[in-house]
Amino acid sequence: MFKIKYLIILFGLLAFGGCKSDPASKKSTGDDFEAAAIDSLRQEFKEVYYRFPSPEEMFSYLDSTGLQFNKGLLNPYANIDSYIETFYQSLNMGIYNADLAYISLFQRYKESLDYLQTIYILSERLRISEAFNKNLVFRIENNIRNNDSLEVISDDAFNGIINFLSKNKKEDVFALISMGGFIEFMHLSLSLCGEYSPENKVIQKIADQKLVFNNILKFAHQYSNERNIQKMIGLVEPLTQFYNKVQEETGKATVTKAPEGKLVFGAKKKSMLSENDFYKLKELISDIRIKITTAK
Amino acid sequence: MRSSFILKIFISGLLFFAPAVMAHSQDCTDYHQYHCAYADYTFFYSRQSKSFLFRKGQTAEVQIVAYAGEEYYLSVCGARKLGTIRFRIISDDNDRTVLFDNAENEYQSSVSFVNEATSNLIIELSTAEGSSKESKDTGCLGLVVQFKKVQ
Amino acid sequence: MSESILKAILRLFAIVSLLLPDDKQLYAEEIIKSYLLQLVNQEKILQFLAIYRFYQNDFKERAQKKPGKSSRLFSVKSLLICEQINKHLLQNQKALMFFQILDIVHYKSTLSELENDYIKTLAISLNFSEDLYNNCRAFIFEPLAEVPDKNSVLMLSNAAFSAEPAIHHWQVANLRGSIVFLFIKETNNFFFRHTVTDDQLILKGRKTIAGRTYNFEKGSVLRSLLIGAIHYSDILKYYFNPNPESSFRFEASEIEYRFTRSGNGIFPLSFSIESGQLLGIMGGSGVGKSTLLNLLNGNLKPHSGQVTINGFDVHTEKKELHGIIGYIPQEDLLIEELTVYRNLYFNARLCFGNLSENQIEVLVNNLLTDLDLFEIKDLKVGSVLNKFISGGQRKRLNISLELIREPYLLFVDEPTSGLSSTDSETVMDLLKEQAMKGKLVVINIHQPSSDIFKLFDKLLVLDKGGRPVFFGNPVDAPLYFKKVRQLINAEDSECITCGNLNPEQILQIIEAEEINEFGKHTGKRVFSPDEWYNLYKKNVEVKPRSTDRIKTRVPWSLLSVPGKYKQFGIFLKRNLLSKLADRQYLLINLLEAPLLAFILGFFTRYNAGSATSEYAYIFSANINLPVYIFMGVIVALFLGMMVSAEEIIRDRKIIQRETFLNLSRLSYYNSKVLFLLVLSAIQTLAFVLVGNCIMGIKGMIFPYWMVLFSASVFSNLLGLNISDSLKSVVSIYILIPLLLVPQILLGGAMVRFDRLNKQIASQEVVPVIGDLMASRWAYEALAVHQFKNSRYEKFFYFTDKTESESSFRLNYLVPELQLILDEVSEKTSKPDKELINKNFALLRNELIFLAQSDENIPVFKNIEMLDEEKFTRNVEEELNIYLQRIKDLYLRKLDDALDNRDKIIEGLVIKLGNKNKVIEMKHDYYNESLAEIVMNKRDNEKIIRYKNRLVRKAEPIFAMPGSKSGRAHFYSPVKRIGGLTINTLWFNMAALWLMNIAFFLFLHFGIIRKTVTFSGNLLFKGR
Repeated sequence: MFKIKYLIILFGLLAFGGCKSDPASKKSTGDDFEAAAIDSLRQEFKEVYYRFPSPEEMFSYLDSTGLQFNKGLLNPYANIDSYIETFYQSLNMGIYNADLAYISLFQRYKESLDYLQTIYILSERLRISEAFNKNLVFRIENNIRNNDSLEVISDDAFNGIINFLSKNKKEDVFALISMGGFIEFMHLSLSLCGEYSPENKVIQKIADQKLVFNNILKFAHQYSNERNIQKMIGLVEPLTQFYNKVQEETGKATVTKAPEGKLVFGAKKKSMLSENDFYKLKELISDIRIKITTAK
Repeated sequence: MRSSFILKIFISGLLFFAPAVMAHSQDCTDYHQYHCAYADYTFFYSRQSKSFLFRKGQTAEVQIVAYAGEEYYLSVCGARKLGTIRFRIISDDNDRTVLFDNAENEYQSSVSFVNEATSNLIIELSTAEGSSKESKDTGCLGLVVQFKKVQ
Repeated sequence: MSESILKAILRLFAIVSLLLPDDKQLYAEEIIKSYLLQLVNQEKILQFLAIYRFYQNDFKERAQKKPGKSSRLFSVKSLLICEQINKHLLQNQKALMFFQILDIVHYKSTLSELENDYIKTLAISLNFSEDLYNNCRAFIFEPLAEVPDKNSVLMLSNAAFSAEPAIHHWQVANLRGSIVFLFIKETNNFFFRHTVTDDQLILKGRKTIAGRTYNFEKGSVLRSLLIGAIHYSDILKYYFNPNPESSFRFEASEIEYRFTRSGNGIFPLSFSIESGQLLGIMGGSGVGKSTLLNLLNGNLKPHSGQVTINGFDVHTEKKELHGIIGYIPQEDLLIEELTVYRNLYFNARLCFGNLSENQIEVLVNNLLTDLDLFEIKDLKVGSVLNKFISGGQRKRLNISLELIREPYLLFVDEPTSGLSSTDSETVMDLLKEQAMKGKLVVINIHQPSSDIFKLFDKLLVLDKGGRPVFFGNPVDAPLYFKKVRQLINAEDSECITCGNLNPEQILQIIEAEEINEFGKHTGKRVFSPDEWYNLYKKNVEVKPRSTDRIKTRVPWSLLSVPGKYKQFGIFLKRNLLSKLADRQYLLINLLEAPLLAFILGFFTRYNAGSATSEYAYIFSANINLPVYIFMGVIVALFLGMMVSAEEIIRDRKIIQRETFLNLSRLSYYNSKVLFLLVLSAIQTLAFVLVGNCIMGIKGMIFPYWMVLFSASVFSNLLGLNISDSLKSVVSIYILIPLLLVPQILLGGAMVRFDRLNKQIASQEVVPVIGDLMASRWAYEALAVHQFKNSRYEKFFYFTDKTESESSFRLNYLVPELQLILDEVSEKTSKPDKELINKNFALLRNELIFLAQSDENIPVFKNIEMLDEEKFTRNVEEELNIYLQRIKDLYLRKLDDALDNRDKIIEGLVIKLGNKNKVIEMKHDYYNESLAEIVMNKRDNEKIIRYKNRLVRKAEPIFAMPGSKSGRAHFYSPVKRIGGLTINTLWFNMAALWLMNIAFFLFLHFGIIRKTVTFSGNLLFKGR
């Protein structure tokens, strides 16, 4: 706001004539330096920004009061040993994050701690551990039995990561994390929702998550020049295909005004999931998840 | 509304510290956290919120997922040089029905609504063309998304 | 001699006497009487004579009864008696008895055939050799020319030479007749006869009769008024006619010595003595006998006066006199673990570099035989407490070490201390023999028995404070002292009845105390030491003639010390054999290392378990690996020190002696060093093989071994230096913790170098105190190498380094610079001028550094404007952008590095077949705990401001050192020196070996030893 005017002037100057660096330095250095700047500039402006809810938000939508805690559903943190490529490190970071969101619903201190630490280790490998507050680990370990703050801490942590990724132009990593989180959420919710029945509201809500998947995918496509993104897109292709085939009821969107003066957006819309679809979805999610968690 | 007012004061207070941070980054990442208005404490902050670099005269879309049975609060804010920000909420149906346009509401910077069906919502953000031909007029633009369950 | 044997002898005499005519019976009785006098008291003589007569009568009767068979009867009887005698009498006693018999039958000048046969039969029955019989017979009956062994005959007469040229001859003035000595070599005895009738020759206070044979014992004196005294030693001299070429004159002229601290020493003393004699130095304890000995042998330099051999000064002309002097100190110089043979053998090798192996073997065996040590030659010598050979044998062996090269001048300190009287006699005989052969033997003795005392040719007596009080013939000593004291019986120097000289008398007289009026000792001496000394000076001392200063030829020495390399080889072999012989030592030393490795490995082998098994061991999950590495270094240091700590100190006396022989001390040190080197190599190899195996460290045996070996060698050399410098073993062991605890503390593992006491710690590089620690170099080398060069990390190190650097600059360096920029701009409060200048300097330095270290970064254009005066908003903005650009650059670099890592993994997966194998490889080669330490993960301090620079604290293993002088931060992967960049492993090893060489040189030049002695003297000067 204040200095931006100056910034822009200088920006312009440099952009036009700034290539003349020290005569002593090699030509390439100046070029590289410039190139870096311009590169970052280019990434800044987009036309469409795709956003999607976090696993916590997804769980919140599900109405977690009905859910049970089942530790066996989680991705064991010992698996971390197998994640040596950035691809799996990023995806599984998302998975662990979703696991953490799930654990947070049940106020389980020890598991929260374990998974937070696991996430931290993965972040170190990805060189994004600076995202965490300096004292985060200590904060966690010192927060004995104070379950509320644990949620805040883990929330904080993840916000930190997201901001950090954004600041450091690592949106592609964010895409991978998000997709990992999505897969894990689907895995957890599909495992906990019980048997299929047309009346099962949870299953309906799970079906709704197709939108989330699509947004994440579109978001990822914005970075499709990255190898890992391409890989991920390929990995979830079966799911993409599946979702494309799912029936959808669509109707026109409506705006109404509620008696208190609140706006109400409505639409005759329903994502349908037949019994077959349900089990097919379960299978697909399971397949993809296994590939991610075993890093095969 | 009183609480949101307090929040506004609070956040404006933060602005004093902003220059130190702002001066160094062309980075808009957390712009919305410090500059946009927030709803009352009953709403939860959604990670769908975003800030980004915006060029004057540009139009950008932010596509979010709105869940059924939840009430949402959206607010926008932007760098002063960008001028007034206009935003529209467009549905993802085939007709691209406009569900809300703040131009019809004195360019108010925030809106809240109840969402009945889970759907994609496109929030279209735009500003007026710059008076000068400086197409290099850029600044940060922020969008806050908050939600809560409808009781 | 027991009574029954004496009776048997009398019976024999009785038989012999039957051969004599009756008128000669008295003659026979006289002989028997004088023989009995030598054996029994005066009172008993009559008794035994009566027994003799009784036997005589008895045999006469029997002869009369059976006249024809008498001779046969008596022959048989004689034989029986001889058998009995053989069981109980020594050879020389038999010889004496035989001579009496010969004397008896010498009543006429020739022997009848009967008599001849009888005598011969007797000789055979008495187990005399033919030579012995013939010699004895000829001595008595034939003219001297007929004595078969002419060499054993000595004649004394006043003629210039004897008629018979082959026998020895000694011209004695005023001798009225001739005295003939016969030497029986089988019994080492002398017998004599004389023809002097005009003079009285007194032996042991008794008149001797011409024509009779007498035993001339050690220490005996034959006196007469006309000829004076003839000592036993005088006679010896003529028999062992030493090579005139090797005779020399040893002279001390007014030598004086004073100890600075105690005031004791040696008072001015002069004497001279020819070779071929045994000089005994006697005196109470503490009078200075050892000091005198050391003054005379060249070890101690007198404060005034000279000690010369044929004119050559013993102290200043050591080179010319090399090998002439031998010295046997009181202490044992034996190597306990070696056998008797080997001890002498190695000593011989060191003395005779010019002889072949065979020759030396022969020499050694001969000497062992001569010294009656041949039977025990393969027995281990053992310690004084753990004996395998007796004290006497030990002493003889000690002496043999010197005797082997037959030094012309042999000094022996207390040869008989602690020995039984039999052993003492044997040793003294040995020494006497040497003197007889022409050497000069000087011994210290505290309490000689009278037998030993009689062996001395010359006696020197010292009184308190080192005052000489007598020099001369030992037999004359009691005389002198008694005369001075005017005691009765002054003339009786020998005890008449028992033939013993009483040397204690001498000391008693010297130290006699005054008696007060109550008849008690007052504690005050009758004669003070000074009085004795003055008396000595006046009456006894013979001042050396000034003409004696002429240098004559030096006797030629057999000593031929081998060259330095050969010495080295001998020392090494000796050391090796002595160590191998000590089985306990071997076992402990060879097993200690692997045992420690086992213990260390076993306890630190943390098995975290895996998904499949609870007790599975995974290398990468072993939290204790860094501990193992560090403890391994400490173990190496300990082991090295323990084996070397005692090495030199236990050889202390032997070293002294070898210096005396002018053997190369360097060769000795080198042999120790080489031995320890090999031992250390074996130990550290054993350690590494066992420990690394248990810990699952794969493929790093050689580097571990090299580093631990180097550390162990350091300890070895340090230990050798300590062993060389300190006086007692106890002080060494007390010192060891003082030396090793700092190594543990400052090795870099227990305490961080940047977290030490601030006055010592350094933030940028390892502080000097750390660089002095061998443990620091060794541990760092291993930690860095284990991490960086493991089979897994080898693939990734370079890209990890780029990752680390980029991440650091991106997340810490540039943001810190941005913060500093903040502080200098006017936005923040408090214009603290000093701080601002500091910050500007910091900025400038760091920007230069960035541009220099990365070719992709151009130098900041307006760098000189980063100054308090020149700074403007423009510059601030420019710098902001510049910094942002740098951030972007490193962002990209980081991304690229991460991509690169993925690619490497991909490549590995293809190479190894599948991803599991890659993960397995990581499990087997990459230790997480070590990684955590070398990357400093636990520490939140990633960057600090220090002295106008920003110092990187993050991930030291990936950080390049800033200094080009070789110094660096701990866990640095390389060290930079000048233009070179050297891997930490090699650099650290070089540092270790530099220290090793330094300590090796310290050892050679005795630097530490001299410093310790010097400071000891300084500290205790007052005493």
